[in-house]
Amino acid sequence: MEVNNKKSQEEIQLPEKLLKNLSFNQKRIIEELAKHPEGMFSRHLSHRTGISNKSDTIKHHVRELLAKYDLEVRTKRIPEKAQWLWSLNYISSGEQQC
Amino acid sequence: MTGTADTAPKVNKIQTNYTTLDYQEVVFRANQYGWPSIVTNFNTPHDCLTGKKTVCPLCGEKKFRFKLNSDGNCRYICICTGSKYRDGFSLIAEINSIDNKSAFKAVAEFLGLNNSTKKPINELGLNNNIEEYRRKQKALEQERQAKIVSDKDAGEAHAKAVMTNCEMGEHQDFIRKGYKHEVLINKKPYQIPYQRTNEKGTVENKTQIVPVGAAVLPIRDIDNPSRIISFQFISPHIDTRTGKHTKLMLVDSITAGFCVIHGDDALPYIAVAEGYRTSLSINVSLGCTVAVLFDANGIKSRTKRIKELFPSKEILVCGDNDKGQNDQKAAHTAAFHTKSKAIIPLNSGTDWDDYRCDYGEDYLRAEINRQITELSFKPVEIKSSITGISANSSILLASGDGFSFADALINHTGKHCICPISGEKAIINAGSIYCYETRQVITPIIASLYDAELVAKYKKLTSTKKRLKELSDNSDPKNVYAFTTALSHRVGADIPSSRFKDWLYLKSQVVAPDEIINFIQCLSRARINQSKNLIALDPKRFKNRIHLKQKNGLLDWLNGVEKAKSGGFKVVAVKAQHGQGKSQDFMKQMFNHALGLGGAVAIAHRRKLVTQLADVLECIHYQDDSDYISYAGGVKNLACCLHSFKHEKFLNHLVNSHSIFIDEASQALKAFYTDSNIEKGLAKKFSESAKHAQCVYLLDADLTENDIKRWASLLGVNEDEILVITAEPPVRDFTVNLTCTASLKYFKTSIVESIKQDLILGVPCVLAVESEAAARSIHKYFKERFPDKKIVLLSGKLPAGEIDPFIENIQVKMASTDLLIHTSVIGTGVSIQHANKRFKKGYGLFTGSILSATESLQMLRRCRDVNSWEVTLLCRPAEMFMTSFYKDIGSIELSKVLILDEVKSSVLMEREQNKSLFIHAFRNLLEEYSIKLIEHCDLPEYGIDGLVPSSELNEEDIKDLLKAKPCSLDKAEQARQRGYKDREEMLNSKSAILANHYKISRIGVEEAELECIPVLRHSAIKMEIVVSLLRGDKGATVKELLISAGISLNLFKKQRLTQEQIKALRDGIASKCAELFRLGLIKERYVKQEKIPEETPIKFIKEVLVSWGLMVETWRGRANDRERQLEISVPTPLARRLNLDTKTEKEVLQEKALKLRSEGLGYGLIAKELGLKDKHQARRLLET
Repeated sequence: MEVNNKKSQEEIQLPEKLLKNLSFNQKRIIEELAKHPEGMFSRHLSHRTGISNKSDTIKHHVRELLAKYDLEVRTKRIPEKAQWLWSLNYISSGEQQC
Repeated sequence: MTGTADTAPKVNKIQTNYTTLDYQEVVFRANQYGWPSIVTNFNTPHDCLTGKKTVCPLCGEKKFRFKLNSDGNCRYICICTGSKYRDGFSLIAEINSIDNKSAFKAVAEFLGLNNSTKKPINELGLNNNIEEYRRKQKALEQERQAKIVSDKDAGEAHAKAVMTNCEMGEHQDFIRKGYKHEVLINKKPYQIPYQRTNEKGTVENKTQIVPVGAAVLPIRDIDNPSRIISFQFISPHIDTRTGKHTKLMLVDSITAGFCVIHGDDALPYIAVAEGYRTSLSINVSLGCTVAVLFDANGIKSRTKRIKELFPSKEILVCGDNDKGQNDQKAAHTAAFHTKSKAIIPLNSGTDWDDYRCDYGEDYLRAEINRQITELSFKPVEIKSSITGISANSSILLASGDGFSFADALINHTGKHCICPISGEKAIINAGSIYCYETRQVITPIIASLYDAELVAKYKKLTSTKKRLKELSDNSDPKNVYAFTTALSHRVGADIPSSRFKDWLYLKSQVVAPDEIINFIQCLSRARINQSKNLIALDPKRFKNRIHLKQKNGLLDWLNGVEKAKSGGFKVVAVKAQHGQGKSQDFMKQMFNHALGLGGAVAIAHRRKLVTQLADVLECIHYQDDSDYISYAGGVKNLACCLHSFKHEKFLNHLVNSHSIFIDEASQALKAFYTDSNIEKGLAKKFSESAKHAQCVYLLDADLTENDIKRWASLLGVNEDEILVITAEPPVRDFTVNLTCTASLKYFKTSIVESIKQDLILGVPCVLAVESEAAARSIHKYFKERFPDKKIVLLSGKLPAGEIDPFIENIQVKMASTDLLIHTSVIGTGVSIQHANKRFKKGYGLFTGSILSATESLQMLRRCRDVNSWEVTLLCRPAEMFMTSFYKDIGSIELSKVLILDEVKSSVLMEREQNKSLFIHAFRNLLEEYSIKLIEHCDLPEYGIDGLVPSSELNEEDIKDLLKAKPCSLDKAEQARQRGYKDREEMLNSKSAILANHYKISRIGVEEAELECIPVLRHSAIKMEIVVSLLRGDKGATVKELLISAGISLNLFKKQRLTQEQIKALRDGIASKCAELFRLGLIKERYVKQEKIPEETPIKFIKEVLVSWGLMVETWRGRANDRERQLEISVPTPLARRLNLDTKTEKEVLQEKALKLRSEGLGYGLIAKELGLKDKHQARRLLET
């Protein structure tokens, strides 16, 4: 039977070394985003992780650390939903940077 | 997805693309996998791995030995290796004739560790990634900066172009609000083209138009104030939708600038405000220069810059009081970092411009000046260890957000902050801040009203009455403030917090200023918020949690059971209320599950509970089968008490069990440290043994977050290994009637009065008392007054032989009891229930000095039939101070030096907290259990409008009640039960209820008076009781007793009592005075016969009859007549209500005579028929 399969892409595999260097909250956000490579709306991400200050949590050094493993967190404003779309992507996948 | 970083790597783990082949990891996993099977896989003969000397597979000599170490690692030795030990990789390499590196790779591949699809990237490559990322970011940043510069340039060009067309003039928006302020007005339409991408992704060209007549407000660059980089314009037309002038910023421009409204430069301060009009209101009222910021973002940095621009001036940050508190937060943060002052308007959801519109310029000036002076006060030393600072001061939390002191106390209890005095680390408590470094307590004060001498004076006075008297004499704000500080700890307990103003006015006719009211509410709300910690369990704090739902009125345990059975949790905490199947459903299933896995123990802290558990779980009871346990040793299923663990064999049993079930876990934990019967250090022994169990189940109806954490730390369990199961509470219809009092005389509490009534009327009831001494004295009190009733006292001081049999047979024993007074002897595990629901009323008397709020509620709930309680909470003012918290923080400090038992100190500290926050916690608990709470205070049920003196209040009430439009009875009843919304609803409902009560269509003056005058209302109730007793509602004996005392229904008629009748009545009452007192019909002071006046009883009789609701007046037959008579009449509403026959003999005669007259009889015949003296008498009768 076809189960509701919304996920078009596979989960992003995260290196353990990266996770080891993240705090609890940072890890939660990154792990959640890795599960949803198509991206998540800000409020869904907050709901899943219980973290409201996401931008503050994903600090500059976290972004650098992600860049080390060819990853980056992208945020994009979706005006019709009045939400920010968060996603974790490979830098090499080559989309515009935000 | 890989697992979390701290879990041990496993062989069958899914691998990530990025893990490099780490030597240590491969070795670790190979050790885990087992070397013998690895080496045999790589062609090593199995025979040589025995550990003994065997033939070497390499050289053929019998000198080979293969050895396994305890950590799983292997070594081999042979003469061919030069009699040196080598590892497994080299063995594989030698046998297969490959080099060590390939052997290592082969092993890694065998273990599934080598991911050949992606080449492992080395650390250097990864670091290059970072460098590249940094370069990219830098380029982006440069791009952003360039855009800012270009935006600024474009904005400057537009601003210059617009401003050339502008002239100074007034704008309608400012005129409308009453400002005479000239701004730049645009005289020529100006268009700004710009581009936007629409939803479809196509670029559209748009234009912004600055219309003629728009006010143009230039925005200056914060880095270069001479440069104008943008502008805001206010449309000359009012938007029909919002009813305001539209305000717009120049499109695509940098608005993070400021503009200045110039004022008096001589003033020592300048203000920073958000929004032009708000700034204008400050400028107009204070006359100072104002820096206008156009949005709240980045206030902190811009305020810092403004401080640099005006180095000699002090900064006032004028924030808005928005509902979300973001603006206040920003203002306070900015103020803290620039060492300036934040002033916020008092009303929520307003800014300073609103304040000016509502109250006028003078009040605005007064309020701002008040706040400035308030903040100008330096910290006041209250005691050597306590410092007071203004409640408006800015406090910086550890998170970096600024708050006012008051906000921090209310909303951020338990968080860390920066001490506003020393700048060191500090913690926020309910009502104060404690600095760890300086060991100082900082409390909020209203600095402008604080007068140390006055406060000391009020604190010295011993009673509230004396303080109120002192306050009535001097009622200036300083005195009011001193009075409130002396009483502040009791507000919210026995003094109503939400209506403190009304309370103070009723007691002393003094009106408290708003700032004092705010201050008082801040303190009481801080306490309420802190008390929530004592009872609350927020499952969101735990990673693994399940919330069970009700299904058809029953709790559905399936989810919880499945999750718990799936394993992986060291601690399973279950919070469900009594009767939801905690032990019957969940525990039983899990117990049986655990039996299959290796044994289970159920533990409780009371013997009675253990017995119950043993029955439910059908397991071995440690007392019944004690011999069996000692013989067999390895019992698989056992229920035992905490006390048993002093025996080694029980501890051993714990070690061998798969699961441990702890019922009433919160109380068990408390028992470890506070129960004197439990030996010291048992907690440690217990936890050591319990650590061996696979899973520990904590079950309690009142499990709190703190308790779970304490158990976890006691058992050494991670937070990830805890599963929290919470349950949806059942729908219950319970009511608690709550009174709080500071008086320590039990006999003056309202519940003692209510119990008396119940005893007289023969209603069986239960009283739960916290303290032993109180229970005994109340028992004695009722025993003396009601010798014929069966009153049972159950307390811990009774000989042990008496308590246990009673509790065991409690159902039977209680069937004949009229009043049961019990202490915490009857606690969890005991329940009293009768088929005929005998007990309908429950009472409680608690102080919080021994029991916690949850325990108190548990005590009340012992009688399962009862669903309405009357509870009195006695607060000991001395214990309501928060000093105990400081002691606790002291212990945290101490623990750095000495090794303290953390769990023990937190349990003991919670007990201290409980004393001061007991009443708040009790209220919160009732809310959590969704029990309806009815609170009693001396105040009228509605807010006092305009605060009128209490004596006038009744008159007004009566008038209003008469004017009220009665609603339907159903509605009125509903409103009464849920509590009235406003005064109007109360009046309408009351009017309807009263009309129904007194059996009329609409109430009149008499009914209104009966309702509104407390004395009359009280006596109306008395009359109802007397009449019902006389009608034999409570048995013939009571009726006979009353009649023998000369009281009959004939008394409730309109009549005159002569001196003789009065004397006879007096004698009658005197002969039965003790009984009448017990029935509550006469006052206590007449309980002895000799106390009733003999010579002139008229005063006494009048008093008694008035108290029974009769209208009594003294009457003299003739002037100068010595004999005084009592003229009695029954108020018509009461007569109607009680169906009293109030006709006098004369009236009866008159009726008969009228009837005869209508039949056509003459006076003479009528006189003869009615037995009158002569026809004249009959004529007089008919004519009057």
